Amino acid sequence: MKDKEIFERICSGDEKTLEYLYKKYYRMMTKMVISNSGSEQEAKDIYQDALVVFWQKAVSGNLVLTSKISTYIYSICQNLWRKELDRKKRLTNEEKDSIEYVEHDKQERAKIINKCIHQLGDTCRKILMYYYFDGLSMQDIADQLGFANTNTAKTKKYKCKKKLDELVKSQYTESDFLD
Amino acid sequence: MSNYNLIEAYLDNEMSAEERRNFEQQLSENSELKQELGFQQELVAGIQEARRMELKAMLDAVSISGGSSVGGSALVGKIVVGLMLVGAITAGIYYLPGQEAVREYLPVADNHSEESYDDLVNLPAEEVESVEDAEEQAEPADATSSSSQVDQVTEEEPMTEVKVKEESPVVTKPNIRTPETIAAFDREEEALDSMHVPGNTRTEEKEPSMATIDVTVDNTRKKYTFHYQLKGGKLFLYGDFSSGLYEILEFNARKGKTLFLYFDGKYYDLNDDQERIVKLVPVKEKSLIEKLEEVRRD
Repeated sequence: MKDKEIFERICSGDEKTLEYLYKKYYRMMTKMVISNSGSEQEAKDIYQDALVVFWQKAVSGNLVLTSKISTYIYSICQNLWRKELDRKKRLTNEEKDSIEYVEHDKQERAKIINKCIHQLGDTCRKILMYYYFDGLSMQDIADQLGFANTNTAKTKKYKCKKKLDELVKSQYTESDFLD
Repeated sequence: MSNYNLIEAYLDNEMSAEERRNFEQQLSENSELKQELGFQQELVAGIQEARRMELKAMLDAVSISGGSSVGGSALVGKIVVGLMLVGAITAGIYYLPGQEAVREYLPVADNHSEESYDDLVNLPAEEVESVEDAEEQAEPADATSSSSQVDQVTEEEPMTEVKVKEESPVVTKPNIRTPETIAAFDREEEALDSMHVPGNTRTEEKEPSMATIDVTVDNTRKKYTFHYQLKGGKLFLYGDFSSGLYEILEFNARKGKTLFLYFDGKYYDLNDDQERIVKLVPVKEKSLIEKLEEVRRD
């Protein structure tokens, strides 16, 4: 598949093409991390993160590709890996405990939110993810999920968000996050 | 409009400039509204994170038959022998009978030439030929496909460039016994992408699946005269290794990776996860030495 075709498919939200891309450059991208003192697991993680960034930008229509896809993803990998190396360096220099303590509450809340998202139905979950992460328009969402029109998509998105809101709030109360 | 709807409109960018100003004014006065906005922002962040995780999980489920040891099982029965010469680089490929494939590479100095390649590795004639064939195929294609855009990017980056020419020889499939190692990869295209890999050139010029071990010799620490350390996939040798050749034998099996060092007639077991610097202790078990001898000679 040529770059142009890959890019068009990804922009249209074709996850299979993302998988194809993942396979295609796996070795090239992970090698960069591994040869820069990363483990294979870290390399894989960075590469996956980079592809997700690429996906998000492409799907939301915020990306005009001026170089090859591989060049673009490679530079994301480099940036992410630099950041990760910096983070690791900081972590060994600072007091780890204090950071973890502050993060703890936030992490607990994130866990609850995540749990609630997965309690939503498939359609609701997809609408919210497509809207808030993929940055799809209501028209795109209506097309992807087979709704009659954008109004249906809008109403559904509103309802799903409200439902998530209520779910999380009830769980927060149980866990004493909201007093 | 209720607070919920206000926040929703605010987060979804559906407010006019004036509405936005008003809302932000309200925020500074109304702590409850502010708290609710924080909560809604957490929800959105949670949705985004969940989607990110979902996509990553989807990618993680894709099997990479390319043979990098992340996959693990893809490496069954494969033996990689790395033969290293201090300060030298080049690459060649050997076989073991049966299902085991042995590869060897001789690192040569950075400014190595084609001559040193031939001098250092006694490749069977046919293998040398196939290597050259691959180069010939790859080069013209490379010239035509590198677009000016890529060239621009290349110039911006201060990184060392991967020598496409060095990589393409390894593309030749007949040289490798484990077919799935490379088959699933569009290696030609990969080679054509004139990408640059940061870091030292020595690591990059090895065949990708062999780039698992990077060796550094350190002769500056008085305390360590014959020691080693394996950290972050890199091997550090401490002491004077200049008196002879050292070789790294790497075995990739189902259960993981095993490394041996051969130096001055003896074998040394390298613990896969040796973070602390320890003394190199020679392997004494006779049967193991015989086995290692066999592999190394091949």
